[in-house]
Amino acid sequence: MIALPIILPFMVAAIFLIFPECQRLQKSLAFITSLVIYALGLSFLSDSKTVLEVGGWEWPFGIVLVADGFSSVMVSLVGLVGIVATLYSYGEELRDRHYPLSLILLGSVNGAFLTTDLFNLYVWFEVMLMASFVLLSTNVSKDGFGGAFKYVLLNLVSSFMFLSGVGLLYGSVGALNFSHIASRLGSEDLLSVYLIAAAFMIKSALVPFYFWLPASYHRASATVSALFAALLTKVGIYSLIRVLSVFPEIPELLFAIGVFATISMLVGIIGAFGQVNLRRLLAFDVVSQVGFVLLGFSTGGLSSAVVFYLIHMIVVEMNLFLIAGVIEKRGNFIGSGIIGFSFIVSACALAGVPPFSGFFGKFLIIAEIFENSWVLSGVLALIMGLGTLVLMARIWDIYFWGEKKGEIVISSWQIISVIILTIVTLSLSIFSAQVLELCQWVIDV
Amino acid sequence: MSFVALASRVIIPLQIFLAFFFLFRGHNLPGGGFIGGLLLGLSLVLALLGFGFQRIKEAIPFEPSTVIGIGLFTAGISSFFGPLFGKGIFTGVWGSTVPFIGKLSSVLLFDVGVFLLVAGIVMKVVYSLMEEEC
Repeated sequence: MIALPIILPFMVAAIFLIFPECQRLQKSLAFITSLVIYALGLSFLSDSKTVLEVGGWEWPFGIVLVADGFSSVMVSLVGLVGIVATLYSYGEELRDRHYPLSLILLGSVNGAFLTTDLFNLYVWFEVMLMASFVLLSTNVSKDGFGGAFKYVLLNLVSSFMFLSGVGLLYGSVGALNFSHIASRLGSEDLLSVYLIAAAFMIKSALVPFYFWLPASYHRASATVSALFAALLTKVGIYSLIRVLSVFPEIPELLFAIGVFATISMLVGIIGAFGQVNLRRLLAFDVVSQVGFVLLGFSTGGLSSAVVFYLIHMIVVEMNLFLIAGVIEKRGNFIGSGIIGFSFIVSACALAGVPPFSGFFGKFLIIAEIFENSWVLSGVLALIMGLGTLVLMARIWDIYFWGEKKGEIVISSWQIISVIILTIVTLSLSIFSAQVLELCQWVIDV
Repeated sequence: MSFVALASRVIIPLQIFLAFFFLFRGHNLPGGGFIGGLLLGLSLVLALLGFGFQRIKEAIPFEPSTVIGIGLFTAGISSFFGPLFGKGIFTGVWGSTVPFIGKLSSVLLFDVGVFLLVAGIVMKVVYSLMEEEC
């Protein structure tokens, strides 16, 4: 059962490749597959921990897939993201092979969430990189290709560092499974752990290596950029958190991540102020959000607030990118109450305005940051919240107020997908206590 | 007939034979689906040099992506043989021995999938390069 969220999208993608003509079949099958992934993720949540030793090879020797609380939550979110992205794509003109590629992307992200084997994780990263690179580069004009090229180049550097780290580690401890490595890790293996952590930091777009993200996201079609905003950086964050919380604690590394994360928050927000293109602005904001959540992790460890914030980030950022896609198509957005309402909800949630979901995550994380006496970073995190709010107000000012431009009909599929994510954001806000309890349970099991 | 065309007429059948030989021998000995698929793809490259792109495209009735899809699907299907016989997913199921092929198994089916996938990807690369040139 655990392997199904990985195998199923690949099989369906294969069917799409064999029968490329049936677009309608592809649309509905992609939706059903995402729905199944979502249901499987939720069903994993009912058990505290499900383990699969793939191919019957036992624990330290084979690849072990583990669906514990954290990975099950992530898998169900992948399903949700898939559902929403598929619905949204119904209203958009997309090139051939969008559906097989996005399903392969979903499958590989599931693989990265479920595996506990370091080399297997590398393989999933590569599959994810290839699928996302093709998605990014097929839907762009010639000048847009530069962004895709930056994306693939920096991520190849990351893959190189990751693979060297894994190789060095395997050479010295002779293990690939996370917990098996952790039990044998010595002080001489620090270099390889640093290399692996740096690779994850590139993947999650932390500051010294963040520039692939704002260079590429806005080039893709709206569906693809929303898919990327929801999933790509989160896989890096998840892997970093997973690996570092299994390994024995390395205070210097956590300190370095904390410093980089703080700078990311600043750079993201300052960079966003300089942008005219809406999706590029949001991409910079993603960088600052990544910085915030990793700052929370590096100071307070894996806490329920970090998991909560990760869930909230996936939902809210995806929604903002979807809305941005709708807005960009039309020039500005006056006269649609639903989209305006959804934007306000997501923007306030992202900035951390009290009744919405971002507030609870931010409050707990910032409290943790101050408790661990990272005062400067804590103050900067507060300022960043304010900066996000100002940014969102600016977007509101440019796109939702003023003269009405043009009448472009927006497909109802796109409105439905935005509404779904808005409802999820609202329920994250209303039931935040229950969700936080769930997150606590997730990290306890 | 040019020398390359003549040479490819002789070499291609041998190379295809070698590709399948590597595929079937691959489980316990050097070889396997990946290397076999590469060899099969290379025979296509050789045919391209000998006969030209147009003739090859007319002679092969399917698209590269179809081959890739069938390969991926076959490899995926092989994972379900384990659960069918009461074992875990992706666990190998072994059958009887067949001359020239060796033991029939779900592992071999997976390798066939890899074989097709790799051959399809080489085909796709070659096609894209040639189409750009034309």
